[in-house]
Amino acid sequence: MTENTNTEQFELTNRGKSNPTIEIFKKTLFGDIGTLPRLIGGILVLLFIPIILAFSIDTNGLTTNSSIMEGTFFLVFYLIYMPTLLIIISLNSAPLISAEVNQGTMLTLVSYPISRRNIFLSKFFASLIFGLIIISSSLSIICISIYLRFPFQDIFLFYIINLLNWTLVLFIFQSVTIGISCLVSKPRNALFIPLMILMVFFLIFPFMKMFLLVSSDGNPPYEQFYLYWVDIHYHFVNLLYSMLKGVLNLSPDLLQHVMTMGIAKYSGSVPVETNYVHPIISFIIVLTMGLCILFSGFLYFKNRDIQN
Amino acid sequence: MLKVKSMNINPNSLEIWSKELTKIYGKGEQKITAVDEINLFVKKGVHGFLGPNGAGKSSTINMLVGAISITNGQAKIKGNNAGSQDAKKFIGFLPQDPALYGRMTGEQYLQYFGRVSGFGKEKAIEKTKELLKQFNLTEAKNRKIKTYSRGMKQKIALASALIKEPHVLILDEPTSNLDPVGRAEIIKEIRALSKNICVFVSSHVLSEIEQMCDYITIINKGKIVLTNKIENIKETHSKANNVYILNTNSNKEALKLLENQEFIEKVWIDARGLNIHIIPSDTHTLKQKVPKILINNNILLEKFSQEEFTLEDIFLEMMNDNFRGI
Repeated sequence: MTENTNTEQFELTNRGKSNPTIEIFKKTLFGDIGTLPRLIGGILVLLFIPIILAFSIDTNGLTTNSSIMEGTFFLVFYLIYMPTLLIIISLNSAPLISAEVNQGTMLTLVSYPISRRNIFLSKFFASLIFGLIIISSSLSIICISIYLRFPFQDIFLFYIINLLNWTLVLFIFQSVTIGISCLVSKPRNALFIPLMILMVFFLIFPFMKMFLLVSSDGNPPYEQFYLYWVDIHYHFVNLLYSMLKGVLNLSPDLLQHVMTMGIAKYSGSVPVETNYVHPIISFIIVLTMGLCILFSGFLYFKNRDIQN
Repeated sequence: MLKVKSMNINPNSLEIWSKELTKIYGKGEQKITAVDEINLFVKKGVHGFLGPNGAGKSSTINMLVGAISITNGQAKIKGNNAGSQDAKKFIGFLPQDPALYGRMTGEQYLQYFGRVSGFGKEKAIEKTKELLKQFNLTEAKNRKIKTYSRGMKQKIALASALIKEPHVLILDEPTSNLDPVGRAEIIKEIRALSKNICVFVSSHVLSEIEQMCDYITIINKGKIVLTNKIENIKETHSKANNVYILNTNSNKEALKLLENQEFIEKVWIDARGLNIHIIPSDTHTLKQKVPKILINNNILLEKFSQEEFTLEDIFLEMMNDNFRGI
C-alpha cells in the first residue's frame, strides 16, 4: 500500500471517539424498543392481574411466619405472568433484525465500518436490557404491593428467585426470538414462529399432558415415549421448583401448586412429584436450545446476502 | 469492445478495482450468474456504471460495499478488500430506493450515522449542521423523516452517505423515482462532490450519466460490454459510423443533386424530410464539394456536420449487438 493510503487510513481510524456498537445499542434500546410508552405499557400489562391478585390475598389466619407460597397466589401469578412476558418479548424482539433487513435499513447499516457480529450483539443486548428492566420493575412493584398487603417473611427470597427465574426465561426466549428474527426474511414470520412456540409448548402441550399422563396400565405415554425431554415447559418448571424448594425450604404441601404447573403426575387427585430429569440437566437443555437457535441465527445473519 | 489500455495497473493505486468479480445466486439448475467475471478500474472523478435493469449493476455494487458475498474473483476499495472494515471506512453508500428510519428527524438521522461512523458527539453535530445546510434541509431538520418528500429523503440519504467523509462514494440509481427538479438537484450535488472524491454511480438514465460522468462502464447480462472515457467512446463511435448530416432550404432538390456523386457511397433523407444523411466514400472531397454544389444550384445550406452520437445511441447499439451475441 502506498504511503499516502497509509496516512489516510491512519486518519480514518483515529478520527473519532464514539463506538458504533454502543450507538446501535443505544438507538435500539431507546429508539426502537425501549421508548417510554412501550416501557410503561409493558410494565402495566405485567402488573395488571398480579396486583389485583396481591390485594385479594386473604390475610385471615396468616401469621408472621406465613409464606407467600401459601394459597393459590403463585399459581395464578405464574400462569398470567409467563405468557404475558413471553408475548411482550416476542413483540419487541422479533422485528429487530428481520424488519431492518426486510425494509432495507440494514443494507445501509452494513455499509458502515461495523461488523455484523457487533450489529447482532448490540440488538440482542438492547432487547435483553429492555426485558430485564420490565421484569425487575414489574416484580418489584408486585412484591412491594404484596408486602404492603401482608408482610410475608419470605417475600424478599420470593423476589430474588422470581428475578432469577424470569431472567433465565427471558434470556432463553430472547435467544430464540432473535435467532429466528435472523433466520426468516419476513418480520411477520419472525413474530409468528416464537408465538407458535409459546402456544405449542406453554399452552397446548401442558394441556395435552393431562391426558398423556393418564394410563390404565401405569405406563402413561408421557413416560413411555420420554416426552419430558422435549417438554420445554417441564424443564422451566423443574428449574423453578428446585429453586423454590432449595432456597425457601418449604414443606412439600406448600409446593403442591408449583408441582401442578408442570412437573407433577397424579395419584388419584393428589399431585406427586416426578423426577424425570435432574434440574441441572433441565437447565442445560433449555440453555443449549436457546443458544443453538441464537448461534444459528447469528451465523446465517453474518453470511447472508443483504440487498433491497 | 474497448478495453482498458493496461491490465497491469496496481490495484492499490485505484479507488475501486476488481478482477474477475463474479456473483452467482442459487444452486444447481436454479443457478443465476448475476455478475460474470468483471474487471473494474475506477479512478478519481465520476465513473458511471450503466446497464439495463437486471444487468448486474446492483449486485456489483452490493459486493463492493460488503452487503452480499463475492462468489469468485476479488475486489478492492483503495487497496482494501471489498467488504472488510478497512474498505468500509472509505466508502459512502447510497442504495437504490434507500430505506430510512422514518421515526427519526433529519438531524437525529445524520447525527446517528455520524456516531456510527466513529465520530465523537461534537464532530457528528458539526458535520450534521454542515450537511443539512449543504442540502438545504436546515428548515426541515426537526421534522420526522417519514414526513419528507421523496426528493428530501434522497437528499438526507445522500447526506448520510457523506457524513463519514468518504473517499469513494457509491451511488446506486441515485435519481430513480425522483421528479425532474429532484433529479437536477441530486445531479448538481454529485457533480460538486466529484471535485474532491471518487463517485461511482450506477444508472440506466443515460442523459444523466452523460451530464455527470467522465468515465463509464457498460454492463449487460453480468458482463462488461464497454469501459472508457465518454468523449473517447463518442469519438470512436463517430469515426466508426462515418455519417454526415445535411440540412438545406430544399432537401428534396439537394438529394437529387447528391445522389449520383462519385464521392458519396450512400445518401438518403429521413422519414420526416428534416435531414439528409450521407455516407461518403471520400470524406475530404465530400467536405469540399457539397457546399459548392449547393451554392451553384442556389440552395441555402443550413447545417452540414458529422452526425453526433449521444450516449443513448451508443448504449442502445451496444445492447443490440449484445443481444445479437456480438
